[in-house]
Amino acid sequence: MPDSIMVWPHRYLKPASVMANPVPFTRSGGKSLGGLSRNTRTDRGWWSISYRNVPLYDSNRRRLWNMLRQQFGGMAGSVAVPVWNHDTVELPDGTSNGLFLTPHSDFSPHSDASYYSQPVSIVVEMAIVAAISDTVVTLRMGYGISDLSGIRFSYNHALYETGQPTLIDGDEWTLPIFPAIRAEIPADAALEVAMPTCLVKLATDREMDVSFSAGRFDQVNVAFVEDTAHWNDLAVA
Amino acid sequence: MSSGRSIRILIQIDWVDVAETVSRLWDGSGPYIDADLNVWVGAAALSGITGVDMAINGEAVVLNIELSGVNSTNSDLAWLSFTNNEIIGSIFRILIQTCDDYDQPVGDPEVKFTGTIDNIIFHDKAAGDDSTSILIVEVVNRFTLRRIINGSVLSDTDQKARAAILNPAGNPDRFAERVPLMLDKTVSWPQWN
Repeated sequence: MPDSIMVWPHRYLKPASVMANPVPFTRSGGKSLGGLSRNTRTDRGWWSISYRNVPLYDSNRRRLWNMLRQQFGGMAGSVAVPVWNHDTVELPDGTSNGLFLTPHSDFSPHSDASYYSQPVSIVVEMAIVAAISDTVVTLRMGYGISDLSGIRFSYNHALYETGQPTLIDGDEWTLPIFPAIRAEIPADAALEVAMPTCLVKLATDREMDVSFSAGRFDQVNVAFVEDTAHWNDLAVA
Repeated sequence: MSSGRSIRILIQIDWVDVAETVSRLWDGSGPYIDADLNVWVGAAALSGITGVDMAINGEAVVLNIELSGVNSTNSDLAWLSFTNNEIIGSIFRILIQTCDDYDQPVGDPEVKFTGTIDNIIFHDKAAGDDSTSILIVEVVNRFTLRRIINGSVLSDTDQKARAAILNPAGNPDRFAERVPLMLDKTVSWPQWN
């Protein structure tokens, strides 16, 4: 595990759709003759993330893809991938990928057609320290967001999703989260809400296989699973 | 607020030869820290855990637990124990921790199964593109005796030892005494299916 965690270049390899879904753990004794079963949860679970239709338009994106493939190195390596949050968090107008893109005052861009960019300011802090394997946390709402239930956030590339609030005390919200806290989040730590990331590894060794079509235009799918081994090793160390 | 719908399955291995070394695993994804601040490492899958039930019914000769997602520390401990020829006798426990509706532990974990490690198999296999490395822990407890041949033979010595435990104040149980045929007889234990 390298010390620095590589982040997926989300501005260049932006998938057409992202599927970031929790995988719960339940056990049961099987179905009864009537078709019912009683299930018991044995863990909150882990994240399964898929990128659908990542466009590989040009040689630069191809090279980025190959570089990432080296970083993953099959299922052993890990990369932090962003899971966009604009499905659950209302971002201000004029934002793209969690960034404000601003032209000059006469609406002209820079000479290379790029804009001034600035991350969207959404401030959410951890109100009370969250220890490993906690499943209920207290978040403090800063600004740029009006509701903390059902959103995703990340801290140090560990991704979480909030549930129904059990207590709202002023700007402090107490909510259950999925999954259990992977690594300690200190009090007053700023949480990433605009563009949360999740440390993942590939779902299979050959997940990043890519074709090279004659038209030089390919859209590829890639599936990830959360790299829980990283958090386990971190906790034991 | 315990609904009984959330539990954690914990596995604790006390390695016999390496002083004060305990492997703590649990059947979950991430790390879990209990009230005593012990870190339990999430092992992604534990196949063969249904074998626990069989062992309780006296059906399993040995309980094979396949540990997947074991980190290098635990694997090294197992290997160290293995190479020192001290693997036999390491204590293996399965514990159940009940949790509340928010999956937070309630009370202390209960020990549901205790056995001693009989063997450890390091199993690497490749099939097609897929290669897996599995650590199989073979665990035995007293039920193991029911299924092996000489364990199911009742000898006079066994019967007297048993009587001394069951009825310490009474006379030794003598029904198997002076029965030479007993050497060749097999008394089958009941099996509940």
